[in-house]
Amino acid sequence: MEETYSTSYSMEELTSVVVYLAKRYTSNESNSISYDMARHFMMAASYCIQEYEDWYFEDDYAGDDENRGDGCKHSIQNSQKIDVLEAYKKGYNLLLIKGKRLNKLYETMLSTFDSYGVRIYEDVFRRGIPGFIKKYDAIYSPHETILTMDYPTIMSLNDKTGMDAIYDYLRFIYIEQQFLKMFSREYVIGYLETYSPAYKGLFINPCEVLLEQVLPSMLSDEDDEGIAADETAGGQAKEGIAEENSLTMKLTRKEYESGLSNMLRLLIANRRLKNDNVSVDEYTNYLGACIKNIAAYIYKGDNE
Amino acid sequence: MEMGDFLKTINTKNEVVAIEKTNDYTRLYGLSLSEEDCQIILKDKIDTLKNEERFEFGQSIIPKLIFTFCDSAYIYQENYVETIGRLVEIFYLYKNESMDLVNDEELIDIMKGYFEDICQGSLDYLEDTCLEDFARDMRRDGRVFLGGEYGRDI
Repeated sequence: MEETYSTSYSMEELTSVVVYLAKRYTSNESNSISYDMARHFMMAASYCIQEYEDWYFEDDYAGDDENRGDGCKHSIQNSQKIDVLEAYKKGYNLLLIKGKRLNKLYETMLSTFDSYGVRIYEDVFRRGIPGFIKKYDAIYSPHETILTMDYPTIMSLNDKTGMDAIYDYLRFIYIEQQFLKMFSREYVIGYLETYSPAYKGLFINPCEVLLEQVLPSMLSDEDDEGIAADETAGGQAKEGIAEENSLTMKLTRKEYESGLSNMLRLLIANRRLKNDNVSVDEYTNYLGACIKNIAAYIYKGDNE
Repeated sequence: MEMGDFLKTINTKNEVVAIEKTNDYTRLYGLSLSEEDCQIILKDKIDTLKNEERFEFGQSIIPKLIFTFCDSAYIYQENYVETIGRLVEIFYLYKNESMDLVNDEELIDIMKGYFEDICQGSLDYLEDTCLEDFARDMRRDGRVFLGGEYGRDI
């Protein structure tokens, strides 16, 4: 694991935040802390500063390509840099705001959340997330994720930790819930039972299971459930793929991916609820993360 | 630079001056430190911090130890430097052993209580027996009221 999160401040500069945290932690009653604790505070300091710098580059430099990207933080001019303690405090405040947003999102979801009987889904949402909200320590351990996130979301959280990871995790679950509501409960459970009669105890993602079965059937005209309400548009999407491969009629994996992506976009556009506050792009970005796997699965089936 | 290495290089500026200043008070008890003595004590402290893997950020602990122990009947000029060096070592060892459950002043008071009373000036007995028991109690029972039971009344 890295020793600190990536910021434009050096380790020497971060030490003043470590000292600030150590004094606060010991209530000024101790003059030393263990190396382990110092490392922990160094992580906490760099995490909050990274939060501030991420926000700074997202908001203040939006659209300015020269100042965006991974390496940009390290090219901050000294004149642009604020005092390290100030940066830490700003980052900490941003973290608190994110915490409030997380709380609000959770409360919004609480009354309508449906795990469709998948136990791990229920556990993570009903016990895991509240446990995180209760135990999260934004001052001394903002970088600790606490929750093991056993429920497999479609998109991975990469290297995110702490509040950032849990916020994204909950947001993914929110997108999934909105998507699943596009179908009737019986319909989703029917697909899950087809996948495995013992699906309740499995570590599965209901959205992924549903998409694995729905998208290929849309693509191969077996859409007898009427999922793609707009047949014309669905037909056009399929024709597009067929034209590209009119000679062989055997699709490549990439073509499958593109076809399935079109189907997904179509499915969402047709079934999206009116009060849905997830954009089509958000849906396709998130749910589309499983399309490669589905395409590979179909492609393998075609070539066997 | 690795973070561990960085923490080890933290130096304690002006600490020698702060230690030398304690002479103004300790002379009342016939104790004083030369600049060379201060350097020796400081070097011992830095070595101890490295060995015990501790990062010092506040004011030096040495003057606090000196002010607390200088009135002891068991400390005299000939063993002064060596005793302070050992006390620093014992202090940081038991900060770790007690899992930081006691603050600096409490630990120093407990050390002083044992040193004067049951240890009768023996640093070995203080380190290996009295504080060992104390730290074990701390680890077992967690943070407890420290009055009376440990060392002298604090």
